Amino acid sequence: MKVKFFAFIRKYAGNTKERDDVEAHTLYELLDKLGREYGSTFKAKVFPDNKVSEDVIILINGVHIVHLDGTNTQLKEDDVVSIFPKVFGG
Amino acid sequence: MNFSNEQLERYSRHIILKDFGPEGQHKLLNSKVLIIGAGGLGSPAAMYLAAAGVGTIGIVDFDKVELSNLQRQIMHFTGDVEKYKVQSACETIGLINPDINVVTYRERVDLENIEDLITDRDYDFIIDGTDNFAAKFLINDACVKLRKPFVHAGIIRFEGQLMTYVPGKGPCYRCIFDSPPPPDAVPTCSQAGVLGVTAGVVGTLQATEAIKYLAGIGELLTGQLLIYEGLNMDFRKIEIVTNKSCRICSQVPAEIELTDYQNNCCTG
Repeated sequence: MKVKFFAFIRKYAGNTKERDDVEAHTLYELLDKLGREYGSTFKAKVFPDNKVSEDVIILINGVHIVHLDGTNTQLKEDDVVSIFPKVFGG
Repeated sequence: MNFSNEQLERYSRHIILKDFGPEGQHKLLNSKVLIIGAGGLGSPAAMYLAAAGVGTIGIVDFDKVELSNLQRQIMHFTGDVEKYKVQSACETIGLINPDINVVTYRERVDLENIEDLITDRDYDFIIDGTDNFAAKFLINDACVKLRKPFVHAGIIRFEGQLMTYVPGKGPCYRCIFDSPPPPDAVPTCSQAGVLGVTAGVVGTLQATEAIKYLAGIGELLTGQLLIYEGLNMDFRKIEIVTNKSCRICSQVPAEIELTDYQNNCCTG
């Protein structure tokens, strides 16, 4: 599957735009692996206490995970996971 | 299509523009756009739409101009500090293009007035230039209910995002953002800062979406969220799909009930 990091989430992922080398069966497993790899800042901003942060949105193939099975959503080989921040400044 | 001599000269670069031409200009002159928020996003959007000749521009804002606004809210000048933003906006638009009919609403957008604001002049297109989630969700819900197209945007630090909603042609803001985050969950521009020009980039993109919609040209950001990353100078799109279980756009529009999130979500 492909994972894409946007805006300041990208900064916490080592300025990586996207990658396709992480193996995970569920979104939970993916976020857990990314947290371990990228360290405490990524973990705190994206997956604190093993829950998706209120600060970010995660879409799988363009669908918000609240409309799927949350972090229990199963991931397939051709899925695209997009992680980006909620932004409201104007 | 009758243009005055002054209009022919003022809009000459539009009129000679292939795929826009006199037809596009004529459509703009007969169009009405409502800009909610006369701040960082609303400023460039209003100024470019005025320059482009959008016939009627409505501006909604309850606030006064502050010195700390001027680094990004380019519609207001140093001498405008302490003026109401709608007054300052009206003056600036008048200086850019005196032919524009400017309608000002010195109000905070809320549950009680949002539908009246949108229907007041039967606006053709809405620009969300607000700085808080309560207003953004309210604008989305009201536009879906009233079947009005709008462009959403948000900015912070060096980054911004935008998407366009057109009734029946793709997902709404709720399909992606679902519901507002709780108070203090997301940093504001006053907490985290924002590079002033970020508002210019994103607000100008909102104006571009409005002009394309009004002139009926190009492809809009429907079904796509554009994310602008200023530090890397990347513009990337995320393909988004309409959620069949979206709490707003899956409903019959007339039956949508608006929600006031003013006191229980992040505000600017």
